[in-house]
Formats: sequence, structure tokens, C-alpha cells
Amino acid sequence: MNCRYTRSRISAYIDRELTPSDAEKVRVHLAECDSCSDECRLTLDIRDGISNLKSVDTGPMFEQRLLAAVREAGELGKEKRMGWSMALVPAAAIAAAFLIFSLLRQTDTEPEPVYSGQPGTPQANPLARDQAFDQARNPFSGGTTVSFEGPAGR
Amino acid sequence: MRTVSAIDQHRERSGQSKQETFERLLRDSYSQAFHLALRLSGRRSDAEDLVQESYIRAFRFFHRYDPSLPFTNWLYRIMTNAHIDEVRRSGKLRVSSLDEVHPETGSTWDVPDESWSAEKLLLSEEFEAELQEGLKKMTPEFRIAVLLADLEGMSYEEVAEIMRTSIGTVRSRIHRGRKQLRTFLVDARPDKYKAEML
Repeated sequence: MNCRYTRSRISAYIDRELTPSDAEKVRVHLAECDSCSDECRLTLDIRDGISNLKSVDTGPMFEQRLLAAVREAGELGKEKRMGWSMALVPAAAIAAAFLIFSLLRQTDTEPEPVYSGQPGTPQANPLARDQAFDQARNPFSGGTTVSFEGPAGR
Repeated sequence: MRTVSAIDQHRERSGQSKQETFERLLRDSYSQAFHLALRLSGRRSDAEDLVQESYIRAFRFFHRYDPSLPFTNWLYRIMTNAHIDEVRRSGKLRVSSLDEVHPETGSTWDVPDESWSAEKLLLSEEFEAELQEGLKKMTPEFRIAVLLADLEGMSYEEVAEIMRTSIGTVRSRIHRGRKQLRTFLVDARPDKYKAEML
């Protein structure tokens, strides 16, 4: 145990923040060393001086000013949140209008059915389409095809 | 999934709104908070600003407060952070304006700080005034640690919790802070303190 070790622990010693064994070491050294003992006393004076610093009156209006400031901060916070909400309303309205407009435009310009043009489908062959139509109207026709063309090879 | 903070649960039990709960805590704590703020900042106007800023920040983050712990400890954490922010902001201005060498005369600026004189606290005891001046000169982290321990009577563990650091660091800050204070007092008034302290 030396002076340097003790002085680095004087604050913790007077604050009772040392382990019992460390506190005992400091206590023994202080009992033997006048210089460290003086430093300990003066550190204690400073600590007590700070502890005894007087409270200063805040003044009668300070509490009201604080409350007003906190309430204002609360209102500002609400306004900010409201501001975001209010900003979302026109954005949502624009989005809805755009959606409705798009839907209406799609209805107006409904495209004509496009024939696929695949070979073998009725749409690809007008004659086959007509036959299918006739068969649907007269299922008993047996698929008779009336043709104005003469026999092949004539 | 909605999470319910401890303060929400507390409010539901007590039947008070967030605003009412906070205002009750403010009324109970503002005098004590001002006492600490005054010793941290050294000026009444600065202390009032610091307290106001601290309560506004506390109100904004009130949902994070755990009511099972002392409100003042939570508030002091906010206040000490706000104080360090303020010191860093204003410290630059003060150093550049008063400690810079004058470009023409080569000497340092020697301008009396009238605002400080006007608002300086009228402490009744000379020692109190000197201590307050010494506190003002201390490194902010040391000053906070010393004031929380000595003025508020907190344990090193509580100080460490508020300053979000280790107990070892708190021990070092308090030790070095008191040493700074002692050195300041001796330098400022060697006739008075030299014989007593060194």
C-alpha cells in the first residue's frame, strides 16, 4: 500500500464504494500517512460543500411555464401526426380517381374479340364457322353443306 | 402485434391520461431537477432552458419510461445528455471567442462576460460561489458524475446507470472531478486554499 494507490481510492473510500478489504487497506494507510489523511479530509470538505449547496427557488411562474412548454410540445406532436394524416387524404383521393378513370377507360375501349387464327378452328375458316352456325340452328342437318361450287374437276 | 409499454399499463391501472400522468410527475420533480440543472449549468437562465428541454424530451419519449423505476433517475439521464449536448454546442463558441489569440495585438481576448456577471448566481456563501465556479470549469462528464453523487446522493451504481457507463468509469470520473475542483480552488484562491489543501 502506497500514497498513490490510496489517493486514487480516497473518493471511493469516503463514498463507501470500496470493497471491505480495499477500504481496510486505505483506512490503515490513512492512519499512518498525514499527507494522505489531509487529502482525504479536504476531499470530504469538497464533497460536503457540494452536498450542502443551497437550493435556489425556481420562481412562482416556472412550473406554469414548464407545463405550458410541455403542452405545446404535445400539441405540436399531434399537429405533426395530423399533418401526415391530412397529407394522406388528398394522396388517397388522387389514387382513387386515377383508378376509377383507368377502369372507365378500359370499359370504353373494350377490344373486339380477336380471332386466334389457328388452323382448324372455326374462327380460322369462315366456311367451317358457317357450318358450325348452321348445325347449331339445325342439329338434324347432319352437317349437309350447300355449296355453289361444282364438282371438283369439272 | 401491438406492444403495450409499461407506462401504458400503469396509466390503464391509474386511469390517468399520458398528459395527466406526466404533469403529475413534472410537478413532483421540477424543483429537484432545477436544483441539479442550476449546478450543472451555473446560470439561472441556462438551468431553466435545460430543465425545459429535458421535460420536453422526456414527454416525447414518455412511452419508454418504466414507472417501476424513479422518474428523476430517468429524467436525469435525459438532462445530463442534454447538458453535454449544450456544452458541446456552446463550448466551441466560447473557446473561439475568448481563448483565441488576437490577430493584431497577439494577446488573448480579455472581454468581460457581462451576461455572466448579470445573471451570476447570488450565492450567500463565498465558498458556494467558488465551488459553483469550479464546477463550471470542470469537464462535463466529471461534473455530472460528481453532482449526481454529491448533490443527489446517488450511489456509483445509480450514477453509472444514468450515465450509461461502468462503475469503474464513474469511480474514476468522481475522483478526477473532485481533483479538478480542488486544483481550481487552489489556483483561484491560493492564499485561502493553498495552505489548507496542499
